[in-house]
Amino acid sequence: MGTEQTSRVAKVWLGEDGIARVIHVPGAEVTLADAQETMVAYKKVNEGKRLPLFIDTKTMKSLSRDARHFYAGEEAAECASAAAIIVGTPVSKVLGNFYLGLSNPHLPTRLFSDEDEALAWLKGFAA
Amino acid sequence: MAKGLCRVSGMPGNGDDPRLAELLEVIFKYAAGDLKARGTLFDDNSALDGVVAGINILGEELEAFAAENRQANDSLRETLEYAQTLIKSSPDGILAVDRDLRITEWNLLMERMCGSPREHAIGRFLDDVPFMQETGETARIRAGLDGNGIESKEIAYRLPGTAKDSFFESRMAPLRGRKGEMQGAVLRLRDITERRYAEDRLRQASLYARSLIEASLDPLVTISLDGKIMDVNEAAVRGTGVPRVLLVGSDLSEYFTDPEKAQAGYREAFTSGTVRNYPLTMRHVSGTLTEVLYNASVYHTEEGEVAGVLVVARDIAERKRAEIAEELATRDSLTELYNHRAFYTFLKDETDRTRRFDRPVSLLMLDIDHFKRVNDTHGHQAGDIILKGLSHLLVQQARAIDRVCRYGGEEFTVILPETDTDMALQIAERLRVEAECHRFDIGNGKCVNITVSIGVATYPQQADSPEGAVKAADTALYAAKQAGRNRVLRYETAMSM
Repeated sequence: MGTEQTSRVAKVWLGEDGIARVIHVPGAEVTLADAQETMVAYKKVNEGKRLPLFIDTKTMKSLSRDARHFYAGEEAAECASAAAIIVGTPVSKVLGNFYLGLSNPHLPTRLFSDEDEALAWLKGFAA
Repeated sequence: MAKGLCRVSGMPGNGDDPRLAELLEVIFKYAAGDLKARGTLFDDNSALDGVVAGINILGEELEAFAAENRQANDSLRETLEYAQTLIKSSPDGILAVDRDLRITEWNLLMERMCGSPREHAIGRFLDDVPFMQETGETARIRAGLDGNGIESKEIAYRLPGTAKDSFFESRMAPLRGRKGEMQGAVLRLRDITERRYAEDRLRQASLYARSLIEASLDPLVTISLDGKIMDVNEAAVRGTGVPRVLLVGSDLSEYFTDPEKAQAGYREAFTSGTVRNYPLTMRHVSGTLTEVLYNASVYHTEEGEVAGVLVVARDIAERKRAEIAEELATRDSLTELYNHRAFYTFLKDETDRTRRFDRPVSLLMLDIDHFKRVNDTHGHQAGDIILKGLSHLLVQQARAIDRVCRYGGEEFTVILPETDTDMALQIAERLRVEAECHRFDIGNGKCVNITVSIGVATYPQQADSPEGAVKAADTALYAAKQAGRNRVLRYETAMSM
């Protein structure tokens, strides 16, 4: 595990497999400010590289509209090469699907309920 | 909304699950326009929680979309109002038509120009507007809508209630839909009548000024502050032999034999405002030189600043030639005295003056005695020398106001203005004595003496016309000859002999 960065709603670190992880804290209600803070944290981890992103939203409770659009925007896409969104609860599935509808085609993005499958898919985008 | 909610709430099975009832209420709130309605998430991993999350997201997006839409509509309305204000207050006539040439916009100036109020114009076909039909604008706009390019055009039209044509500049712009399809056109009519008449007046003034310049027979040139020629007339082209296109822009001083003197001339004009009769010699490309008198005056801009110098180069060679020709026509070639023709002109002038001022004029008729003998003895060349010598002597002895003329052969006349008979006799006697005493050198060491006879007559005492005066003087001369020559005789004496 590389250097870990944290925001109010997530922990961010770079795995040895070259995949960045964004793990949301249980019950996270993500606002635009939270999303921007998480992006800053991620940028400290990626050292300017476009990395594949493993995003765990299973425990996320909500994602505000501004935060959704921020994550789906070009700025976020420029920092990552692909995103695997881990969903589990019905809420996270809804959020994930909505995110897919918004972000397309900025970044190759897929929803996974299985973490291993997600990491396997992301390896294809690791340098 | 309450009615709808009641109806759904009353559906079988729904009233048992309060979360489902709440979800339905949120949906009905959306349906009623309350886009802020949101369902409660229980975070219980239930499918209903997912549905509520989805509904909430849709609500957020719907609210944002509606807000953006309102903003866009407000912005559009503001833009439209702004555009309408611009159109209304435009100093140009502006109208818009749809694809069928039906009027959709008609501003205040169009009302004034066409005399048709906006409320009457909107919705009418362009063909129904006389201005548009009579000027051919309808056809032009139709062609423009059919995809043909429309150039701006100047049109003349006599507006109702006016006595002369007004002029308009017509410009058309297509109105296109989002997909680029032609939806109509906007026509802008700018009233350029004042400008057009001002241009006409300017053109007339310019033609007038040009005709004045060209009417001058003297070379006329305008030069800039740095001495470059800005404009010339045809006389300048003829005078220099250089085409106008080459003259304009060149240095004026190049066309004079003394460029420095020419430059000093127009510098003087710039300094003092005018130069008068500055003598220069103009050089034609053929090498011909022309004496000119250079006259120059500065001219000013509307703001009063010196704009340049207007130069006129007067050809004085022509005047000199005319003067010489005139001189030759009035002079006797041998003696250089005034000739017979000039004598009568002078005599008539003097008799006229006599009548006007009541002062006498006397006339001497003088003849060399035995001149034929001189010619026969010494030859005609000697005779010519004597004629010239006597002429010189007479001019020397005459007063400044007297006119000495060769009447013909060896006969001379002297007109004595404001001289009565007694004074004329004294003058005649002095001339006779001078002639008698003078020794004429005829060459080869020979000198000859001559005598003259002189008849004297005075007008109006002895004649009532110039011819009468000549006849009277001639009669007196004849009598002097008869009396033995070398003498002066007055007319009265001759008549009494």
